[in-house]
Amino acid sequence: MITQVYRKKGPSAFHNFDPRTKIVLLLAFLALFFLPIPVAQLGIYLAVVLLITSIFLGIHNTLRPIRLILPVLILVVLLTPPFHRYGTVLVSIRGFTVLSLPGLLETLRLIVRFTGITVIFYLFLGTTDQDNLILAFRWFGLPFTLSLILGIALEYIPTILMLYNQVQDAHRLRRAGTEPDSEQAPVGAPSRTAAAGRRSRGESKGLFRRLADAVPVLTSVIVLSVRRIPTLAMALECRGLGRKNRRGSHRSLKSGRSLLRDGTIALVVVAALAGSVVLFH
Amino acid sequence: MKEERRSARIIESPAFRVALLAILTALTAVFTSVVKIPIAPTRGYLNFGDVAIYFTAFTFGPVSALIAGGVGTALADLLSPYVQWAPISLLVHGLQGLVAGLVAAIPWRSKSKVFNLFWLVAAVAGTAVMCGGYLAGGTLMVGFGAALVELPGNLLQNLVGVAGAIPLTIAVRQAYPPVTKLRW
Repeated sequence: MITQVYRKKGPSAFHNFDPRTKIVLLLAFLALFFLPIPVAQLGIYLAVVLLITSIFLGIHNTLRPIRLILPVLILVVLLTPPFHRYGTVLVSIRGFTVLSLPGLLETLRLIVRFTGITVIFYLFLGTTDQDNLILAFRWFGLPFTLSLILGIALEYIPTILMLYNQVQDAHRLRRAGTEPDSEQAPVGAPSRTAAAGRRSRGESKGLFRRLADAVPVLTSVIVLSVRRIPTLAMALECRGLGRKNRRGSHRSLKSGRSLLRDGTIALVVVAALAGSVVLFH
Repeated sequence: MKEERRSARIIESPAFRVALLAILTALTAVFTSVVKIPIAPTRGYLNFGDVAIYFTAFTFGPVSALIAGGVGTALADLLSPYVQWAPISLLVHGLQGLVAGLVAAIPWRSKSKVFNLFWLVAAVAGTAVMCGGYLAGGTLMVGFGAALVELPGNLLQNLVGVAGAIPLTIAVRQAYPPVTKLRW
């Protein structure tokens, strides 16, 4: 059964912003964080991005992606200076340069870049419906066949996930039922096979033993999925895929005043970014 | 002979190819984001995305592996908190699938066997592409030092991918023999 599970409706105006203009702004900010401009200037742009994200998504949602990348940022702090030990020495231990000025600047640049990229992806793609995103890609020239593959794949992910959970539960219960210490529960009493299954799951196993246990489950999931292909292909053919007549379109992105408004805002922002880079460089 | 011609006609149908690629892409996305093995020492996880990519390359060919591998892993990233890695995943895993599929396809015209030695060669080539791609992409995003730390994890990820994909390919072919006719 095909279900719609990817609806992202938020209260902010940014959620309703045209996805085409969002893609343009995303690319503009992405390019910005890779420009060879001073770190302080990059930091200002990061602050602007964080401010915009806080306004539209709230501070809690703004800090969420940053919390997730904290371990990577710590790695950047620890492992970038050793590869930049030239230039003015800031910290040295017994003649060994631990931190140099170029190393510090490069570390800061990478932290600002990675944080900025993470937040802008979270802001732009996290506030856009997958359906609208695919339509936006179509508008930019993504072939219809590829957009159809994307759309159908998104619809089928919950189905395959459901299959995987069902097959996994079936295998787990079968394993629990054949364990030597599992007891036959009396009728009406809570079954002990599930508890035995949980115990077997908690036992430590080698990596390749776990892999070997996963192969039967994955085989079943793949066979069940591949068997759906002919039915899906017939459904697509019934809807006219592969025929030479002009195809219809039943969903489209907004046009008119709202597109003009969103496009103007995007152009102004891109012009402001470009102007600030030129002005302060 | 008649059956082979009929199978060839089915594979050439645009609707069948779209359906095949969509299902394989969804499978790859689920394998990447949901199917995981915890690693106790690091409290991290190994995902089965590479299992899906190598399985697709060995069974369905290089084009299917390119699209399913690239788009499937990018979709998994888009649906996870690690959205920023989606473009790199699209490129790197797509190339990984393409290269593995091309190498695995080399002796395909010869007599069929249960196990194909070229699958191992294809896996080595795919591993090189994947590890090299993530090292390059990671260097752009987080610097060379931090990207280098990910290399052992990526190698282990590929080892798990190959170790899972080969028995999976053999098992699926035995469980559902018509799958061998879906290659293009």
